[in-house]
Amino acid sequence: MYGLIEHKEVINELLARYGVKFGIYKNNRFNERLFPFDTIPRIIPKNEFAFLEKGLIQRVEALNCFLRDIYSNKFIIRDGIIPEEFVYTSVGFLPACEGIRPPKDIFNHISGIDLVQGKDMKWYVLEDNLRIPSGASYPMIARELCRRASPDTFQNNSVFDNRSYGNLLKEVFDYVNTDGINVILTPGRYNSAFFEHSYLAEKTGAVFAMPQDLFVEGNYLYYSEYSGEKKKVGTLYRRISDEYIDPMTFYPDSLLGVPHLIDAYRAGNVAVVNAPGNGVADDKGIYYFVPKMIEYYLHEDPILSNAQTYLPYYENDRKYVLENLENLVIKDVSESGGYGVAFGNTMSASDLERFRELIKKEPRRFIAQEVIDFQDLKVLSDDNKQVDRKADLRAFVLYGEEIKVWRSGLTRFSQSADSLVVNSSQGGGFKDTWVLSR
Amino acid sequence: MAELEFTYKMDISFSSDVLKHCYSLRCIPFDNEFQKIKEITVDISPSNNRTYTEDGFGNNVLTDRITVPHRHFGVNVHGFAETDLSKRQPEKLNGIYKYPSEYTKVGDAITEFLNALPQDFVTTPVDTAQRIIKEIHKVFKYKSGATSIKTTADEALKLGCGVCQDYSHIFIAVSRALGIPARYVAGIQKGIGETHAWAEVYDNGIWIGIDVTNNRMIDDTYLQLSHGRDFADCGINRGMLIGGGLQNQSILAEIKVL
Repeated sequence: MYGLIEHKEVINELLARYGVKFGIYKNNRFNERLFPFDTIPRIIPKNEFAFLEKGLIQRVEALNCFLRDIYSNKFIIRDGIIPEEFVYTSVGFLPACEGIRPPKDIFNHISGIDLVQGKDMKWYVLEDNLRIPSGASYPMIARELCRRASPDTFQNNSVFDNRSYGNLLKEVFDYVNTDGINVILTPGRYNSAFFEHSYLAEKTGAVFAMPQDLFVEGNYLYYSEYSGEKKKVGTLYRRISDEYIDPMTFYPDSLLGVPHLIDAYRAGNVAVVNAPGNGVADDKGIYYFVPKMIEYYLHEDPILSNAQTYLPYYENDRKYVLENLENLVIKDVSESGGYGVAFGNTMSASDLERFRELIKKEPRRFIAQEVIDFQDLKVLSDDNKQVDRKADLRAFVLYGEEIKVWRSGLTRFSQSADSLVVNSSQGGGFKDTWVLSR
Repeated sequence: MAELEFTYKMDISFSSDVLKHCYSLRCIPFDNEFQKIKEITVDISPSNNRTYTEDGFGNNVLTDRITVPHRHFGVNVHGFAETDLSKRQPEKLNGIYKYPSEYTKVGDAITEFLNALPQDFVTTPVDTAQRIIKEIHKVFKYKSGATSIKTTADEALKLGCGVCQDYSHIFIAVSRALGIPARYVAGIQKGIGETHAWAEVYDNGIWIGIDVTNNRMIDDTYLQLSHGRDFADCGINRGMLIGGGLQNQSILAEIKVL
């Protein structure tokens, strides 16, 4: 593997040339920047990954059960497992999707589960991403370039080939397909993950479309070709968020959406990947209840642990949070992408007081977590020294005929040594993730 | 019980060609145990591939997509219904009707309104609803043109005047804040005019309709077109078009009690 280190610059240059970029909106301005790649891979031993696989499959299955239940019978509310206001006041819960049964009853076709490994070597789930989890393309293309730069490395190490992601994704598309073509829908080139959209279209053989290429007629979704010929769409992997996806149902001013898409989807005439309305299941407030979902729907003990989380909504938890705020991480449940996260230990006394008041006033809006002392990974600095950085792992779980975990993942590391936030939108870089096959 | 003849007519003329036009119409009345549709004709022009669907709130929706250039869009729904609210069956409550929605958020004006209510204000849902309406009428007057279709309950209450949509939104916001599930209904009332809006409160499994604007209970002379959390879920004509220039719209809604 150390053969790779010397190729850091070459590989980063190639990544830049291929347009592996990440767009960030800051202060209403769109800036594109390269997503720095660190050549030292994260290595996960075979046994350890097998354990993660089991836990991830279990978690993803329970989350799918929850979505199916919450848009139909809502037994989990009736049985008192989740207080109803956590569902009904969640911004991700879409009443317009009530009663929809997606093809094959699958809602979270692609789940991006964010994990960290503690100093005690134990893995913790930090967040479930069930809407449009991005990032799979980065380790795919990085691996490809690493292979090119240093073929020996992969001959001398037994690493699972991660180039299978395209096939895994295609299997999912085909399984839920309602007898039409597979399409990947991008909002356009100013989206932060545009590179990924085009790359995945290439790897899955799906048609790559912009909103204006698609239309609904008679409750069916069609793709119109240049020739004017129309083709029925069976699976739509849309990389546009729910609120913009159909101006006839959601934001009326959206120009990115496809009018009447939700009607076609409700009629069962197209599979939408991932299902609209999934945001209710990856809400930070609902996260607390995922282990309970596993027990409730699957009658199993959760294999993977959540970070120790407190809900100020519950009186005992609120008391603990108010008393220990300076040691906790506070998250605003309505924010994502690393926004709305505050560390108690970096707050001034007046900020702590302000947060205490906010929590008392709007307990439902926040969750609090113990800070996990997670493992450092080695990263090459600009002067080629190995330095420590905090890193997480986004595992990709694909739900088709079976639930499969991609034997790789996106490892993101923080920009500076003292930062615990690793989201791509907050700076930082990424690594390849090697899962050993022996 | 009542026999109703109903008409809903909408005409829009455009100053230049509409090149593409998608629409979702919620103007087909419910056909259920307490509102039986005996006969209905639906004329829409232009029309391409007219499709009947249902939305997540159980409303009838008529959709289409037109790519033939046009300068006129006409909808004409006419028919006969038999209404009998005493036949209304108990329904399971969907929890969405207990919490604020986009148009019914509790802001400063609603909070002030709530704070001014006397102690022990909340009794049974219907009794409380009637008392809320009395309080609303003390501070809110009917006036068309003061609010728009984008005005929220809180904004309308601040203004102090508005139309049936605003009356209903204020009522729903207050009712939900007091713990009484409430929803928005779009429909047609007796006589000739525009379409109407009112509210329903959930009482022991049954949705009970209240005409907030006119301070009276809904009876068999009202016809229901759709219901939802607020106006946003009940748009009678929701459309998206390319081209068209200026629009001139006329609406006629009529109920004749036979």
